[in-house]
Amino acid sequence: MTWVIIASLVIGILSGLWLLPADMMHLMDNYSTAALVILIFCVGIELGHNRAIWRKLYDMGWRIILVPVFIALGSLSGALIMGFMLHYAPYESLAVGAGFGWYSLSGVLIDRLYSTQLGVVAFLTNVWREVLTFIILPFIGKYFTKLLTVAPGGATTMDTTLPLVLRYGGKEIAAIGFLSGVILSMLVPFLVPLMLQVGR
Amino acid sequence: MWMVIVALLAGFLMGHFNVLSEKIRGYVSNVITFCLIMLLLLIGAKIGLDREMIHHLSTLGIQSFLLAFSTIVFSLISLYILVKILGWEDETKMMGKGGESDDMGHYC
Repeated sequence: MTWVIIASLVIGILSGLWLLPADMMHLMDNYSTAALVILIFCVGIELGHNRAIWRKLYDMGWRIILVPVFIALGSLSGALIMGFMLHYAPYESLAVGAGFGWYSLSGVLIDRLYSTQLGVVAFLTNVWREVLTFIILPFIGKYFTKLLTVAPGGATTMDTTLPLVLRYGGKEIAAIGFLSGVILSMLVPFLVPLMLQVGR
Repeated sequence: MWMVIVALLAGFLMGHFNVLSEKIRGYVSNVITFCLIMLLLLIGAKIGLDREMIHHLSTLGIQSFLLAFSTIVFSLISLYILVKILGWEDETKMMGKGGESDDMGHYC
């Protein structure tokens, strides 16, 4: 899936460079809003269908929910501080940070709701987040409390980076990582539009 | 903007209360993939048509790297603070009651 996403983007860039006439854009913009609404509706169905998660949360004790909450707060403040240094408006950096590593969704959301340039930044930031997670997780698992292996991946600890959390954090930490990833994924489609809305 | 939130909530409720038949639910992930590819092709095309953005792409890449690095560092610090507050260095204190989750197998 990762390769399909990256290939789509690259094919898009190449066709924009060499194939498409500039006045095509206006036409495509109309269709893409419809595509975004359908996409978000389906993402909602998938997230809502994950009912077993509430049972799991109950079994583990409610305090486990603090893990994704603190990861979210950390991610948002990290984006805010770095964004300030790079001269981004606070709501722009917060929207990028609220992607929590889910690059495809945060990229297309920000592109449609705000600007293509910030959409690209969101996409790349969250791709980097996943790549960096792969690189640093072995180090985190070795030198810090195992629970910290859940933090870098953000929303991706429910799928792509889960095997790494399992390997360097252990089985119990991976269970927390999965839960935290699902909760952060649920927050992405709410928080990204919210941050952009608040900033305007 | 609100259309997105309404679509999300509508989908979430339909998913949660199992309104859709299994057959239709089977198509949902295909629709997600299809829409994502369409939208990514479109972002790509917009980048390709915008010569100025092509020139800025390397700058945006570096800025994105710094943003990603910072989100990771601060999420680690933030989670570490939580671990300190709740005394979770002792891993047995972490789970409220259930203890080890038994059905992790199929996720990994």
